Amino acid sequence: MDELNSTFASSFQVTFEPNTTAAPHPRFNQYKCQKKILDQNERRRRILLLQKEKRFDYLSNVRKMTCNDWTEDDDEEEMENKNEEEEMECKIFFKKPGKFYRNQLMLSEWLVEVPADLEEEWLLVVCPVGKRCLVVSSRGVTSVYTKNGYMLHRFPTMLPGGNRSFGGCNQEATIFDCIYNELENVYYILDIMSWNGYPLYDTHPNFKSKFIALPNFTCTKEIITDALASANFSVDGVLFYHKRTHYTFGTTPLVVWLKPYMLPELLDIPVPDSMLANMPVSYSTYSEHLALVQKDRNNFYLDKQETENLLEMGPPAKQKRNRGKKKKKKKSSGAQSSSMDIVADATANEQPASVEMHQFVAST
Amino acid sequence: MSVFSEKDLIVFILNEKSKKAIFKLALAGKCRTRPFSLTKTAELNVKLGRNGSADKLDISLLDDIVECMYLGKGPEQRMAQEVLTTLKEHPDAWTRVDTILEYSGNQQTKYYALQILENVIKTRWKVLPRPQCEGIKKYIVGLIIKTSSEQQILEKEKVYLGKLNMILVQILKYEWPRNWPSFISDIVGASKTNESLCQNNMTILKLLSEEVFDFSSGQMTQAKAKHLKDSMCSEFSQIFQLCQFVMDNSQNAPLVGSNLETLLRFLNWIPLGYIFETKLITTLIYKFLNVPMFRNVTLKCLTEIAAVQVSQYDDQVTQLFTMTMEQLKQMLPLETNIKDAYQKGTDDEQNFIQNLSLFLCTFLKEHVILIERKSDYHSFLMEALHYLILISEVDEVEIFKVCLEYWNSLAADLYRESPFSASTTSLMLARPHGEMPIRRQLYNPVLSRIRRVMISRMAKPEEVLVVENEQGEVVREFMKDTDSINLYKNMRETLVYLTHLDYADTENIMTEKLHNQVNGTEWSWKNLNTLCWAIGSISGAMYEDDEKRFLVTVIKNLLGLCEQKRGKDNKAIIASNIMYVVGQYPRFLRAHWKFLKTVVNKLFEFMHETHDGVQDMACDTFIKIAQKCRRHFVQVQVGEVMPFIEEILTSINTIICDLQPQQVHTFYEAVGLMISAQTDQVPQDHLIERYMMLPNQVWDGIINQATLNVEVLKDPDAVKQLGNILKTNVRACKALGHPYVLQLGRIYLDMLNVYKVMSENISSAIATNGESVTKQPLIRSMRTVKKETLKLISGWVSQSTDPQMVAGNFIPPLLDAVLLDYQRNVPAAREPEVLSTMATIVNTLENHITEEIPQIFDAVFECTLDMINKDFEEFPEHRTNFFLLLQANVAQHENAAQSFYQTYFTDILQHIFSVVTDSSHTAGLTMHATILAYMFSLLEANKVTVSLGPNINNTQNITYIQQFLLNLLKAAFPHLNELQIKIFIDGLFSFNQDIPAFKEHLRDFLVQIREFAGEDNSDLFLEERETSIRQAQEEKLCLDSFRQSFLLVFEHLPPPTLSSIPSPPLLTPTLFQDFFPVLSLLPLPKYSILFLSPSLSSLPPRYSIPFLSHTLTNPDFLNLSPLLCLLLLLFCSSPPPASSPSLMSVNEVKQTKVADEKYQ
Repeated sequence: MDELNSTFASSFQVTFEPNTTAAPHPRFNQYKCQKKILDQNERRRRILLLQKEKRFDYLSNVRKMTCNDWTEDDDEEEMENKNEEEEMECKIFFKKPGKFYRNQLMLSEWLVEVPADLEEEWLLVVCPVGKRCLVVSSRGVTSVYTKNGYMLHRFPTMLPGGNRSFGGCNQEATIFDCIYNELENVYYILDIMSWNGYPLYDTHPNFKSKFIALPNFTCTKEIITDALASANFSVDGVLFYHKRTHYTFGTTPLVVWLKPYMLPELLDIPVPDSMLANMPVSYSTYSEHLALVQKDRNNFYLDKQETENLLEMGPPAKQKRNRGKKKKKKKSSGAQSSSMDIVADATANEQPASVEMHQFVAST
Repeated sequence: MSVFSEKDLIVFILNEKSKKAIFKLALAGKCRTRPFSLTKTAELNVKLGRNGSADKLDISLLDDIVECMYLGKGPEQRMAQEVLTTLKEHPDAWTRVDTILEYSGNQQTKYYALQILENVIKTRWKVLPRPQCEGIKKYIVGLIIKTSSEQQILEKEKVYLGKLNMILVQILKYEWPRNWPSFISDIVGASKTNESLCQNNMTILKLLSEEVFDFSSGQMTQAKAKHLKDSMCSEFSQIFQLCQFVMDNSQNAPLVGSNLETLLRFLNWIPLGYIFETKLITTLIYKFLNVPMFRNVTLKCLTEIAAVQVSQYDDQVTQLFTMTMEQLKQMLPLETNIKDAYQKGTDDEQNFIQNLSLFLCTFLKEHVILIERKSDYHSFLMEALHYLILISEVDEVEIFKVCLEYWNSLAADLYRESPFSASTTSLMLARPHGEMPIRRQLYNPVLSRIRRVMISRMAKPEEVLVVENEQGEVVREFMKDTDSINLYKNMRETLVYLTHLDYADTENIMTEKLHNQVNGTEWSWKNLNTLCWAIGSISGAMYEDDEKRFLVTVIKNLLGLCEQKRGKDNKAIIASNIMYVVGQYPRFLRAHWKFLKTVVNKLFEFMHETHDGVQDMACDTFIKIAQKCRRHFVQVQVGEVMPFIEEILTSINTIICDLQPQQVHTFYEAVGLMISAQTDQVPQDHLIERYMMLPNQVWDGIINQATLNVEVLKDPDAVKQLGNILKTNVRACKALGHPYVLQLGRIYLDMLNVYKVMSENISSAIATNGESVTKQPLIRSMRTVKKETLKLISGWVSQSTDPQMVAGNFIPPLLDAVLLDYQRNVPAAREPEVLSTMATIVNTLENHITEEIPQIFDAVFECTLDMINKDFEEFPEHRTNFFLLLQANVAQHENAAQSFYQTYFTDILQHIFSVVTDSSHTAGLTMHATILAYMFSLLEANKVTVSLGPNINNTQNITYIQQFLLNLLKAAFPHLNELQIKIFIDGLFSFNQDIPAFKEHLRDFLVQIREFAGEDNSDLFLEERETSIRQAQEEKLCLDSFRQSFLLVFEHLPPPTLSSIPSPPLLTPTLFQDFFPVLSLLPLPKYSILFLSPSLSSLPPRYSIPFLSHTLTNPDFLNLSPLLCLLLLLFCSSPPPASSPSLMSVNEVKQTKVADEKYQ
């Protein structure tokens, strides 16, 4: 039964998303992920590299969203999904946005590995409670979509493109990434994808409406503490954005998420008591299971080492097969140390592995 | 040539309308064949012809019009149709039929002429002068003989001849046997002269048989049908000899085919001697079964014979089977792959497979005992089952249903005979006998194959329909009663029986098929779904430990499959199958808390998944689990510090943040179900408060703004939000029941104020912009707010447990807010839900609401009546709800009922009769019959204590109503004679306890009003009818007194416990006969049904439920299948328990029920 529980809890997913915020934080989850995935830091490094090589046609995507015209979307998405299937486990790839406003938002992972460059390279946004949504103002009306593309609201606004009285010019269009707080009926802006045709990151427009832009902070302990204390809404959590990330679609390790009550433990940042009140029961039992977690962590460390070794040796797709073999061996020989095993296997496969690496780069 | 002997000049004057039509047609000159000339049109205008002079009747013009009708398009065609209809309705049109038939060269024109003739025969035959009847008869007979005497013409003029045959049969229905006693001898005699004539005569006999025996209901009166049936039986020997002669001697294939088809129609009514004491069976099997051309009709004949229930012809019946099997083996070798053969087969071959399945199932169901008895025949039985299994694999659901019905009865039979599994388990109680019962041994080899069939093609258990509701929202509806769901239920029952017979085998097959999914040999979405539905269907059929072991394997395999497959589509399908299986096994979930918690957490995770359908699946599974395991979420489980519901409430915000409103509503209902399992009031109230916190905050926000500025309630966003919050409340209330009062009290007055404001807004919008404004999104969402408010209140009231508190605290403000508003509003803005809410209140609060009834009626009665009395179509919902309200009122308040009768009884009678006799409402006949029967039984039972007419007292009500109806019907149908109507009215009273008989009685009347009766009553068989009505009345009264004494007896019995219930079961026919000696005079079981069904429904459940259990487990009663059906129907009509376990035996049902109650 325990094994069943563990498999059910950890590796049962429809969309493969490491450290997904839909599930409990991996560090505090009772069931450890059984899948071998690259650690967060490494994935960050790779994505930033990849980002330089590959450009996504943002303009075309903006056009699709503002004109609600998806005809051009083609088999490309299918193709991409096929590739995705091949690469699932360990490789890094860019997710494409979906059709009809589905999967257009950049979503976070849990912050699992604290980046070494947190203070220099990351920005912090304190997030209010609410629904994540996409706001598209174009052709005289403003529409609000949930992350799976369901249209939540539609109304006129003073945003460019969002009101008929502006004349509904096609060029005018605004796209926001927002958190909608139903209670206050306020849209907190996380990101601006398009503003009247061009992005405006520094100047926040001063319009009278229910749109409020959320400020960014540098990630030093003191600033974070102040930011949390000065938030004038009920805080749901904090997002960390990597400064150099582009706007991507779906979850990315370059945006990470923590609940306020996790800050003391993970970043050693104190939070106001009011924010600890929402701590779930399962979390409070964490310290009681410290020993267990410690054990888990040891395993985790082993896994990490294992993965790091693999990274040096060759691309993951090959490794996976090796690992299958390895497991069998492990069972038969029992006493052998696992890391030794990997090294041996990996060396044996060095040559073909590099060829595959080449293909991988080309295909993405 | 003219057989018609009318003397007067007959002029067809077309009415103004069709004159114009023809004129236009002519002007347009568009007629395809030939443009009409104006002169010709004028000619047709004035006279279509004179007596006997065909030159004046322009047949070719008629041909043109008919052709235009068939080939033309658009307006031309419509005009032509109009002309033809007018002509057809002309009372003397039929006198031209002979001319048309003779001179027209167009088949369609001839067909049209025959339609005119058929019409006159059906409606006015009895008022035509006899010489004309004779004339028409002879003319038609002559035409038929002429057309059918030569094979070539017969083939060529098939359709035309078919119509002529039909007309002859219509004539026969009046003429035979009284005016044409020699018809059977005539037709048999004529048949011997000529083969093609004989072939057509066979067709005529077949039609006659069908008209008399198969389709007589609603076409002729019951008395007349009986008379014709008797005549046909008594003269059947001549017909049979003819058939036999043809079968023995004819080499003419079409004739033989026609002969067999005719025979097939006869087989279900002819005296049994003709079938079993002649060589008919052997001839069919040896001479015709193996001839491809005849095999289908022959097999159908054999099926008819197999369906006959007889006991004195065992040998012949056995022979029928063995001989047929011998022949079949040669025609269809046992190793044939029937599935493939069917797929590639011609229509004829496909029909053969279908007919074969019908034959085998019919025979085995009726007579298998004869075959089981002798071991010599067992090989035939095995071969027959082998065929049936192969046929069960055919991809044609209708054929499968035939087989399924048999498999179901077989499995049920074997289970009842010995409800023990063939496999053993550590836990299992020792089987009383060391070995299998003999019958089981016989069938055991095929059972495994049947299991495989069931598992491989399990039907879809639930159907979701995505529809747009009247407020323009897209909603998902769970369908309750579709073909597929019924198929699933039957398959599940069968598989559950089969699993009980050997659960290890079921498990092995399922595990094997699961492995084939994993290793890819059988992998497909459809196969996986089918397998998982099958796995889910047998929940509860295994012992708990076996089930656990099995389920763990299944889930592990499926999880492995999910990980192994690539692509979100694949993973989503597998995930929903995993969740389906998990949700089907509540017993397992309840026994393993950690797993249950893991599942629920995973569902919460899936509520954020953006892949299509996953969120819906997660919410549906969540509510399913909440229903079945609700108590586990409010108790502190082992290893936990607080009940899980607390954790859900803490993070509810995060859980639902990616869900759509509809999904949020489902989620709330699910959580509400959990909270409803907390039975201590204080902690429950605390939970409810936290549970509704989120919607309440938004609600308060809007209400506060509205208090400052009421215009806020015109903001589309705000209105939409209010609608959503109310919907959440409706679902919460549905789940919580009465304890929801805490939350209702919190929002009640504000909600009623919002209701008033919305209503005023809608009214003023309609006043300014007209009714079309109701289609606007904002107005629609305002109406949603109103409707949901009413739904919430009536939903809660119907579940409330403290009528006094409801009536005292909640009803007065409701009436204030709703009633006046309803009355003052324009009709289009009146919500029909107001009426249904009032009906619910009256029904639930009973005497606590009596004082308010006048107020309610003052407000709604007149203005609603005014909306619905204009016609029968407008405001359908108001109409229904209005009557619901009246019904509630009449049922609850005796005084109101009497004044209602006084005012409306005769009106309602009159209205219903006017609807019943209107042919466009035949679909509602059952409903009308039910209402009328109820009204007449009220009268008869003296339930109407006020006088219904002027100057009479209430004891004269029956006479008054009889006279009232007589006058009414006489005025409406002057062509009926008084005796006819009187007998009809008598029957209305006599059959008022027997809805089917009442319905047939109405049908008889409908037949009569279509015919002109004339002076001659002999054909109406009025005397016979009168006698049978009198008999019905006597039997009814007799049964009534039985029923009363029966109830009396029960009132004096002590309350039964399971053991003290008089045993053997009270319901055996013999016991009844002992108990009430008079009852033995009545033929059972028909009367025990009549007798029992009303008695049972009026018995308190403490008597009726033990009854049911005894009845269901008593094999004697299983033979009385109609009774069983009735009983089941009766009990099915009461709401089923929340989770209905697979019905196995009553004991198990009971156990599961107890278990469910314990856990909920």
